[in-house]
Amino acid sequence: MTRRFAHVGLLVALAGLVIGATTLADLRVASAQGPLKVGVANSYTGVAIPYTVPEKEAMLLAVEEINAAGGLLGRQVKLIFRDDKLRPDLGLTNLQELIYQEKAEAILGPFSSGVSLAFADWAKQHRRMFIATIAATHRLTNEFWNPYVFRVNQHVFFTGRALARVAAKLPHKRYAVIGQDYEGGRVPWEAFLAVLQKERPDIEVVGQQFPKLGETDFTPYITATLAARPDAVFVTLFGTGFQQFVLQAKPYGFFERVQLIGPYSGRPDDHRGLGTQAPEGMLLNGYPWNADFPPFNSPAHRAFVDKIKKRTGNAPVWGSITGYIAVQALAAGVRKAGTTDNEPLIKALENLPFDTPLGRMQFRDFDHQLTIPAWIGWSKVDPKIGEMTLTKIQVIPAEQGLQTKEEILEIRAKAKK
Amino acid sequence: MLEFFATHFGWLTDVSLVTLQLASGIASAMFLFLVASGLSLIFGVSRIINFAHGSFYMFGAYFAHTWVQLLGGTPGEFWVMLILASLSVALLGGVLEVLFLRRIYHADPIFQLLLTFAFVLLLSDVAKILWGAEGKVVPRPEALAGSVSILGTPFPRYMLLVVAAGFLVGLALWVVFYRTRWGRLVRAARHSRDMLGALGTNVPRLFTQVFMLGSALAGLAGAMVAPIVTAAPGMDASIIIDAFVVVVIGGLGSFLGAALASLLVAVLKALGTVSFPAISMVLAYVVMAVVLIFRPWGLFGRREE
Repeated sequence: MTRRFAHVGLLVALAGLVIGATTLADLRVASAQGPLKVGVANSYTGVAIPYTVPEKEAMLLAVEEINAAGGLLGRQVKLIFRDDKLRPDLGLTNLQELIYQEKAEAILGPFSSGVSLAFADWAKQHRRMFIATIAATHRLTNEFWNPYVFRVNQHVFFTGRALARVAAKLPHKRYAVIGQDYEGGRVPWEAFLAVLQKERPDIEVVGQQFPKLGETDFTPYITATLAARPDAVFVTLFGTGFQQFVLQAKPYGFFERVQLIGPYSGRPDDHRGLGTQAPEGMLLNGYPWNADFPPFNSPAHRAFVDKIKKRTGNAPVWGSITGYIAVQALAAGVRKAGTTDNEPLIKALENLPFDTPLGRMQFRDFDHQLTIPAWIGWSKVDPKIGEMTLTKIQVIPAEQGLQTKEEILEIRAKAKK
Repeated sequence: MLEFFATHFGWLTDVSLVTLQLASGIASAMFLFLVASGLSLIFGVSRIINFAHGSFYMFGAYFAHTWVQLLGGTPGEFWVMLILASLSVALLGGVLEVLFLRRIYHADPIFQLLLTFAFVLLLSDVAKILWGAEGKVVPRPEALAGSVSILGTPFPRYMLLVVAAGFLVGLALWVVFYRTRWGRLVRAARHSRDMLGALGTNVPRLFTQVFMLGSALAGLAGAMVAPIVTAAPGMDASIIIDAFVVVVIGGLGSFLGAALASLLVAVLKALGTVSFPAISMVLAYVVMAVVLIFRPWGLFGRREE
């Protein structure tokens, strides 16, 4: 009898020790002084590179500017970068290393939608927030959302719906899709198709091809898609994957035979590698950085473009501008909260307007989605800048593109069942 | 049942489409064949299962990029580049063989596997250091940039070159192995390397030569695929898996097996992409599993005693 109690006592003591140790560890994190470390849990491999390598430079630029002006809370900011190779498991390892070993007080990233859903779950369990940069699945801020999740990029329901509204007015009836076989390749198509079919019940899906993430030879998928004789093809390939796809599809007369529609590829991250070889007439969501209307011709954005050009020798990509905004968002929140402690920081960031090169934005309080607009247009090569840009651009403000609070609460209630 | 066939196989009545899928399947088969035959050749002679063979393929693509830049628009640069890139990879393979592999031919196969796996990790990092992590574009030669019409459907002219080159290389290899003295030695080494050594042949040198030839084939495949897919990290891992599927189906060490299994795997993938898009990648693995169950030594391999 006494022995058993002794055991129970020992267990309680051990549990106490463990809990005590973790609390102590947390306290040590909270009181850490010296540089304010920000972990960037991101992907720097393969298809992600055209986005994330320029993004890294833009983040470094933003941090240099903050440090030159005295830092945050009187401390210098330091970025620590990790590569998850687009793998959720490695992403989680990096995240924990950044927080527990490197003592990062804030997390930016990830790039991948697949990784972001893993982060959301972890963040909720461990009560640590992160500001997702490029990860675009709408499920991150809808049904998988919790208060520790923030996101800068437009999500794919937003861009998908915007594209679907334009596509609904086009004569095309037969649709096909080509995209990587993972969250970021499949979800945009589902979002696009749902809206399109609601407005146009006559739409028919004649082909769905989802090669594995990292596939470089799209030839059989291209020929199989053309074989189904679609009028329009929705392409969710991105980064170097999109560039390879275009080079391989061109000789098959792909761009003369079908209308390409894409949620990502109007961004220089996707098309700059193609230079003036980029096909014209694609209907895309994008970042027309050199457009001569607001916010692109504003002094703030022009200055941003010049600084990036000076630093990298190249004009910005979507990764650059969103990475820069992510750092600005974090800085605005920390300044208002007066601390990096996550709970007050989250409260401070909600509905807090802050200035970015693309105008004033804020994170909505019920889904922590940034109110960044989207720009939809038709691709056209501009020899002056040696790459394609968009024409006949429609601006879709966030309040039109994003779902309302009621819609999102309904989605979450449904997902719970 | 009838409906099932109509949805999944109805397209087979469309002659131009079938031709197109077959043609693109055959073109991909050529890359697989070049890589798998080198892998198989090296195994047949030295009994080394070379995991790094995919890395040689990747280096072929990167060397293609570098040589095109160095040659900078000299006439016929593409063809010169193909030769130089293959030779560069052959040299790389030769150095690795002489410095490392030669020392462990008599060791346990598990050590050989570990060593070649170490090469994979090392070479992938070396490639990132030398060429960066972003994809390197290799332009197609002007004359091969357009497309030809196959029964009314455009087909990339470059792919025709790939098919032709694959056949030519296959033919050349056959001539070398069955019509030259060196080929006889290689075949003899496959049979019994100890006896060959006892008869006075310099066996280590023969092994190095074979290893270099195998590497050159992988390098050639990489250099030829570069204009289609761009040279990028990760291409080593994706090709080596497919190449192993090919040699398992065809039989390790069998040249004919590598050729036919490459065709089988690539054409199956091309046709499967139309018929069963959701599971097209699985088809080749299913064939491999069936072969492993009923003929573990492969369709054309020799049964090991």
